[in-house]
Amino acid sequence: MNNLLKNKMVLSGLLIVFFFIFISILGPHIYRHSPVEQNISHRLQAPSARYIMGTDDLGRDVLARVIAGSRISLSVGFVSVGIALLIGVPLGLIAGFYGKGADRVIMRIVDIMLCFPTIFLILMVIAFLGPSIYNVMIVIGLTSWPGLTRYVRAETLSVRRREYIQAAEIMGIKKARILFIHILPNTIAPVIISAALGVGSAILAESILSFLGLGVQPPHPSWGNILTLGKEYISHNTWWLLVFPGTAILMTVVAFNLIGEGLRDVLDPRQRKER
Amino acid sequence: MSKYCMSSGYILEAEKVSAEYFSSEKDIPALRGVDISLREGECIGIAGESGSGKSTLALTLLQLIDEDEGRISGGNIVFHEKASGEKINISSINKSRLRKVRGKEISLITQDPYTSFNPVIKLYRHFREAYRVHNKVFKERDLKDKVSELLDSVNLRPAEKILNSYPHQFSGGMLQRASMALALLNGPRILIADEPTSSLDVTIQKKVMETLKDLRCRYNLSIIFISHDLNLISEIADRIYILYAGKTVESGPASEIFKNPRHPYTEALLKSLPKLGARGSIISIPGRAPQPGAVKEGCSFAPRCSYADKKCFKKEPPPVLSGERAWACFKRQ
Amino acid sequence: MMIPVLFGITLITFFVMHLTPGSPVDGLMMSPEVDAGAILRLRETYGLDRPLHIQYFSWLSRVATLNFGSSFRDGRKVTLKIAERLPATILLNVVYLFLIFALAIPIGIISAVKHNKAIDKILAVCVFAGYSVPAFVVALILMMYFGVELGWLPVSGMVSINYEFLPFWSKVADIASHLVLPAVSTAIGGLAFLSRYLRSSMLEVIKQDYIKAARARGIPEKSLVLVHTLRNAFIPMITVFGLLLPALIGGSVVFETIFSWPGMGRLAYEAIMARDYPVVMGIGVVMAVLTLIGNFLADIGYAAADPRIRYE
Ligand SMILES: Nc1ncnc2c1ncn2[C@@H]1O[C@H](COP(=O)(O)OP(=O)(O)OP(=O)(O)O)[C@@H](O)[C@H]1O
Ligand SMILES: [Mg+2]
Repeated sequence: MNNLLKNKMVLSGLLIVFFFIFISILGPHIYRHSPVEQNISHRLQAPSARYIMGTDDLGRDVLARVIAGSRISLSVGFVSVGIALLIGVPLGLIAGFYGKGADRVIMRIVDIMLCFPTIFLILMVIAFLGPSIYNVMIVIGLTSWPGLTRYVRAETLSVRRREYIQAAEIMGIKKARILFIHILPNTIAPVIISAALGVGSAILAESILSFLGLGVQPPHPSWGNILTLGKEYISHNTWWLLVFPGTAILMTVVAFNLIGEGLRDVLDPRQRKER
Repeated sequence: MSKYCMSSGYILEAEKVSAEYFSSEKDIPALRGVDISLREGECIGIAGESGSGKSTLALTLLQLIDEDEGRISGGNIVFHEKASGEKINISSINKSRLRKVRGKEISLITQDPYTSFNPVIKLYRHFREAYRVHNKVFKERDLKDKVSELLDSVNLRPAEKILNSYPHQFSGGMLQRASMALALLNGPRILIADEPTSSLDVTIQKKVMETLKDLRCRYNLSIIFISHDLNLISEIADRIYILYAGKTVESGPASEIFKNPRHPYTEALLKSLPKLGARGSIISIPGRAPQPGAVKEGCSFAPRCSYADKKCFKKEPPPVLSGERAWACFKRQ
Repeated sequence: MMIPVLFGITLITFFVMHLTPGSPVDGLMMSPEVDAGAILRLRETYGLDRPLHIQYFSWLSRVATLNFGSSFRDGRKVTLKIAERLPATILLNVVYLFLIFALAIPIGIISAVKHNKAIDKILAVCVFAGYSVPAFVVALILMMYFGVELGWLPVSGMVSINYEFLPFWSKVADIASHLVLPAVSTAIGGLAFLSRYLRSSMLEVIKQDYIKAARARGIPEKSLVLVHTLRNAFIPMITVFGLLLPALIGGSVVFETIFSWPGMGRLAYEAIMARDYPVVMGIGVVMAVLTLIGNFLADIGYAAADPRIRYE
């Protein structure tokens, strides 16, 4: 743990993430302006003392919307990665541990999923299920497990070959027990790394979906749908509608990447790439 | 022992050469002040167990230790150029002059021939590239002739087909002979052979050794022959250096060392040699060769030495000189 | 490998669309232009009343003969609609792929050669930024700055309104100026990914013994890097590129939409939003096929670059 905190990448990533968690929980209580209240007479105002991040086309407070959006983004990130973990880890364990037919079927599905342009799949599903925050979480989760399965499977395979596992198998210890007591803990490092990277890409995917009008629907705020307005009014030079939510997305995504990459350096020297 | 005539002029002299590798905790001193000298036309053998620093010595002589992996921390390496009679200090010349020494004056062949060729490039391009570095202008024909002749002298035929193949299409023995041809392409005067046969089968080993001896005569090479196998060394070397934990513990003419070893380590090495005819020696000396980083005070062989007493563990024995011979041991003065 | 993947993808596409609540014609019914008769005809043509698996196989057998049916929206043939969008997509893809490779290779080389020197560290940070920065946000910001604020570059479409009347070279310049922003934005992610990968694989290769052996022959560092290291490091990159392809193709949906680029990606978005089933399915299949072709080419390229594979 000490090692982790010494790693500058992990540390700075964690700081940013805690900052956003803090904002998403306490922000609305500190900055007491409604993210949905309209004030047409103040529409499309540039940042000022009253509206620190300006207002949107309906005169809503952009800062309040960015704060509210952080809650959406983080929950989508964590929930969809949670879903991906629930699917990806067991499948990877099964494929790596039992091998044979199970492995072949699972890996074939993984290959198919990896071959498919994910964002197209997500768009399609959302478009047909109807846009809603829950659908977004579920669909991102359902489409982002294959990479994880690959990792876990590879790790399982390599742990399986170790002597103490083979000894345990020979001694007749139950397979399920070996799987949970001995193998699962060993896959934790790559799982944590891909989970951290996964939260970043889920947040990104959510913002893309909302931006395209398939995620969080106005009047509910999200970083993505503020950007939609920014693009709509781009000829009015409404830079605040792009820069603030854009920076928020950028910071969270970078933060999770920092955590993931930093963790890789610390936890997983085998796949450490020179940097 | 060999009976090649030798002139007494030195061609390469290295003194107090030290090198270390970086590691996460402490730097590993792989060479700790090694002196070697090589005369024109002579072959010296460098013997020692795994980890004693033999390959490091070979790399150091050509300044080939990777910047990221370690550094050469001291010593002088002087090469006597023939044409000008000039002395070149390899350890202090600049990069571009160094390049003119590498491959042109001093060549290196390594243990595993597959690692001396780029796997995705055909053999001919290896030759052509090496030739072009040292010959600014040349005719393709001349190069082809030269390469064919060299391949012929290492018994690789037909040249055309060999040159048109990729490294992985050869057997180890063939490729090692090709790497000798490549090493000799620019007419070097010194060949450093770092365990050139230890990745090969015993029968092929023999052939490669024959080729090496043959080349030595034909091109009047001075050779630094590195091996952990004293039997092999005895086939070709005029003088021998015994390396232990990054230091020379004994050196001298091969015949005398074999007849009458002075250092207890040399003695043990010779005792553990299988009798003539039974090849593929496994050195079995009680205890394990030390990790270079772990060397403490005193004689580094002391922990495994049956003659060692208190003094051996306290102080490093200074070298004892006697004619052409030298050894470092308190017990044999 | 190809066949099951293709099969799987069509299956996913098909069922995703049909398992969703409401039938595909529901959307149409809401639009006033479509009369009840037309809906009935549609139902018959597409057999929407029949069981799903029968629908799937009849659709699949038509796909096998490159017949994706007609669009629900304008009744035009799906193949035709895709075909007229393909050139724009291909143009954009070729340009940004060129950008990616033209930049990734020098970046990879510089940072491998200057390993651990200042410039390498700077590049490493840039590359990390490039690959974690959300490219669509960057696209929007570029669009605002260069397109609106400075007014240097057009921000949408592929040609200007007066395109028809321009002389040839002005036409080329017109398209080129429209290409800049979409191509740069699309290239960011892939560029960062590939240069990062190239750098680490070059560092891996440069440690190999055959590089040391070449150095021992007096080969200068420059040729070591350009002839030996680069070539060997490039080989795994071909495979990585194959893996990257789906993401790039998926990205084209987003970027073509942002820049109103009249390509297949934007068609996909429009069709998805309009629930135009035949078009969506057709594009899904085309994208899958493109990915597979890309992977196939990557395999061939790999074999061409690595004699060890070729001779096996
Ligand atoms: N690149 C390196 N990085 C760190 N340590 C190294 C490196 N190369 C060699 N060493 C260490 O330096 C010491 C000397 O190694 P060297 O390769 O010179 O031994 P050697 O006598 O050639 O052994 P062998 O017979 O196994 O080839 C060894 O202990 C080795 O662990
Ligand atoms: Mg060695």
